[in-house]
Amino acid sequence: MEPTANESSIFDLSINETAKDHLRKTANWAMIIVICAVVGYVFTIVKALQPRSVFQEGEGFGSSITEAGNITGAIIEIVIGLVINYFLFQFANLTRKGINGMSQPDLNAGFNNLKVYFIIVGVLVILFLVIVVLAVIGFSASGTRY
Amino acid sequence: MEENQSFLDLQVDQASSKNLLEAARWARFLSIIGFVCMGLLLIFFIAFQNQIANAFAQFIPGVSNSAGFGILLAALVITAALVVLLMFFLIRAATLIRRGIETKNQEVFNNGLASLKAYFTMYGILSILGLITTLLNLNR
Repeated sequence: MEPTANESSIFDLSINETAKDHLRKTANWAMIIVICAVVGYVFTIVKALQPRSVFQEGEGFGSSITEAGNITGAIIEIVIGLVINYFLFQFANLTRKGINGMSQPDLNAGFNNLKVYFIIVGVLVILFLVIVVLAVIGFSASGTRY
Repeated sequence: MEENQSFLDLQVDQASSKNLLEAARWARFLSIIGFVCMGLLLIFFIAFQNQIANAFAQFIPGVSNSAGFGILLAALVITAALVVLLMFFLIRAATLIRRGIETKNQEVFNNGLASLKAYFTMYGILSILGLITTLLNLNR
C-alpha cells in the first residue's frame, strides 16, 4: 500500500532542536517583515492621499489625472503586497504554531505557505521582466523609426 | 553536534518534502534572477556612465559630473553588495534544503534552514531600515 502524504518513516528527516530553533527565528523575522510591510502600506496610503507639491498642484485635468494615477498605483502596490505578505504571515504563524504545539499538519501548512509565497514572488518577477523587455523593445523600435 | 532523532520529533514527511522542494526550486530561480539583474545593472551603469553622470549633475545642481558619478557608483555598489549577499543566502538555503531532503542528510538540511534564517534576518533588517527611511521621508 502506498504511504499517504502525512505518513512518516523512521528514515525521514526530523525537525530536531537545531532545525526548530532555525525555523522559530525564521518565522519571527518573517513576522517582522510582514509588520514592516503593512506599516509601510499605511504610509503609502497617507502619502498618496497627501496634497501634491506646488508644481504638481493646479487646476485642470492634468493634476487630477496625476492624483488618480498616484492613488491607483498605491492601491495596486498595496493589494499585491498584501497578497504576498498574507502567505508570509501564514508561513510564520503556522510554522510557529506547528513547532510550539508539535503539530505536523500545522508545520506542513506553514511550509505550503512558504512555497506559495515564493511562487507568487517568482511569477511577479517573471511578469515584471516581461514588461521591462517589452518596454525596451518598444523603446528601441520607436527610436529606430524616428 | 547534531542530536539524535526522536520518534516524538516533528518530521519532514512527504508533504513537507514536496512543499520545501518546490519552495527551494522557486527560491533558486529568484536568486538567479537577482544575480543576473545586478550584473545587468552594473553593465548598464558602466556602458552609459557619461549619460548617467550628466543627468545626475543636472538633477542636483552644484554637483560636478565626476562627483555625481562617484556618488551613484557608491550607491550602486552598496545596493549590489546587499542584494548579492541576500541572494547568496537564498540560493544557499535552496541548494542545501534540496540536497538535505534528497540525501536525507540532517546536517545539510539544518544548514539549509540556517541559511533560510539568515536570508529572512537580513531581509527583516533591510525592511526595518526601509520603514525608517519611509518615516523620515514622509514629511518632506
